[in-house]
Amino acid sequence: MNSIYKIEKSTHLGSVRTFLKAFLKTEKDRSLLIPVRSPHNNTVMPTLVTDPDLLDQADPFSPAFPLNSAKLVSKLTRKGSGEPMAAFLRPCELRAFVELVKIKQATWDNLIIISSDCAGAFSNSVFREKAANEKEAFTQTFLDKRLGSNLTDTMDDSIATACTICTRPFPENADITVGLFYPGGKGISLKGTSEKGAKILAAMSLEPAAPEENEKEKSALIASRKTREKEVFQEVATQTGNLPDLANYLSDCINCYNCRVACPVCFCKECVFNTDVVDYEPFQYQGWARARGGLKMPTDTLFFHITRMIHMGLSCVGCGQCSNACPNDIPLAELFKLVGEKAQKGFSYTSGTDVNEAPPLSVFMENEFKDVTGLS
Amino acid sequence: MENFEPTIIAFVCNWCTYTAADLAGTSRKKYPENVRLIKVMCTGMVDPKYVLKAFLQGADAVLVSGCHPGDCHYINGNYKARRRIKLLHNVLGNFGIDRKRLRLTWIGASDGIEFAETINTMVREIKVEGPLHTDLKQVI
Repeated sequence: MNSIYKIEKSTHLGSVRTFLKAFLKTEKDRSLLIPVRSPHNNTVMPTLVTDPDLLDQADPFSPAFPLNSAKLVSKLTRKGSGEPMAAFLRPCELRAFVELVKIKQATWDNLIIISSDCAGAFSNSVFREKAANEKEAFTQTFLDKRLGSNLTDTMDDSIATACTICTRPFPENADITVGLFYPGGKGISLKGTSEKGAKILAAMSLEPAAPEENEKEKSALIASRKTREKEVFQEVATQTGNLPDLANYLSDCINCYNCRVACPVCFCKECVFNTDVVDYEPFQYQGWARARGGLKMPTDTLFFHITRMIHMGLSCVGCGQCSNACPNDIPLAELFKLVGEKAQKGFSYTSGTDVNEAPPLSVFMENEFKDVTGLS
Repeated sequence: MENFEPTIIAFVCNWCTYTAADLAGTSRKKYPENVRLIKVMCTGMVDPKYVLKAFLQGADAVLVSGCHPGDCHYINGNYKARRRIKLLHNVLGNFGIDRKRLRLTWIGASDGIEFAETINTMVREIKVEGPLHTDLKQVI
């Protein structure tokens, strides 16, 4: 189960494409969901691939991160189709997927998840601006800069904030783990990190490799990320310490709910904010305006955001898609991650870790949290 | 500030705390009129949104109160409520709504005196804490 293999070509993309083609040829019946470059322009979108030749356009290392694919895998596996498939996910997408499996919005049966060390991503607008001309070559430029600096080079602050404060950039429970921190060259390492994954790799006649010795670099990276995260959290906390300040922080919100749509763990088919609960009668608005002398519209901005924190905070994986989706550039990712992590800590829970761990609000115990009750 | 009269919204369960409030009344136990009781069938049905909405609509404090552990009319509603209040503490604490403003208590049907004392204590504490400035134009 712990065998390690390697593939070394002249570029990282070359290496991973060689592997993916061999993977799809060995696993003939499987389809593979993976970011693929459009032949027409500079977009990289998740694509369900069945023809191995299409993998010449696969680009799982591009800093393009248009959406969190966990939602797509949920769509593909929510009801068993009987068709085996595989998906190439970023570590944060994998964590979101684990959360969705727990709440029965996805299944891991018949599915192989391949995940790689993550060099981070750009927001959609930054990606369009910075990576427009070079197309595929940009991915290698990006990896050279990022991997060459142990992920500290932020490429003139192009990296999304969520990625600069990500403390879990290495896949934790994939079936096949792709290592980008392969010492030297532009190769990748491959490790079967589940029984299913190891079996597939063993059947693929790959070149074996020695175990990587990069624990020191990895822990140095995590330590610096944690420091950065703390700084960002402190700043957010001082900006949102009370309700009026929070209202200021969110003052550009136009209630478009894009953050909710982009959020991989906001899964309700019918969100309460689309229901009659917030569909007030015209006279109610007039009443509130009269009572206060004025009424900011649209209303319910704080109600929406805090409710979302309560609903998905315990599952927040810090992928940053909420910030990416906001048309008014409200820095939501750091706020939701800060609140989410505090909430998770209260229940000694870490999102996206273990499919068998129950979400905190789905269980209860007789003798627990005694400090929550009473007047002291 | 000296004349500050806090508004406290209390979600009380039909079987225990509401009955206790009734008992306080019939026993002529006085408690401040700052509290507005909302009777619910069980603390387990107090959606976090109810609590949040109360704060955003101008409540200075919220009390959720039901049966003692093991006494729930619906077997385990109060345990579920406890986890939800724990979550609310963790989330709302970030925005200046501390635990003094959101209380969860177990008050049984025969505890009329304890109910009156709980309200007395909460009103006294919130008067010290001061108003929660949420009656802004931004917030509904």
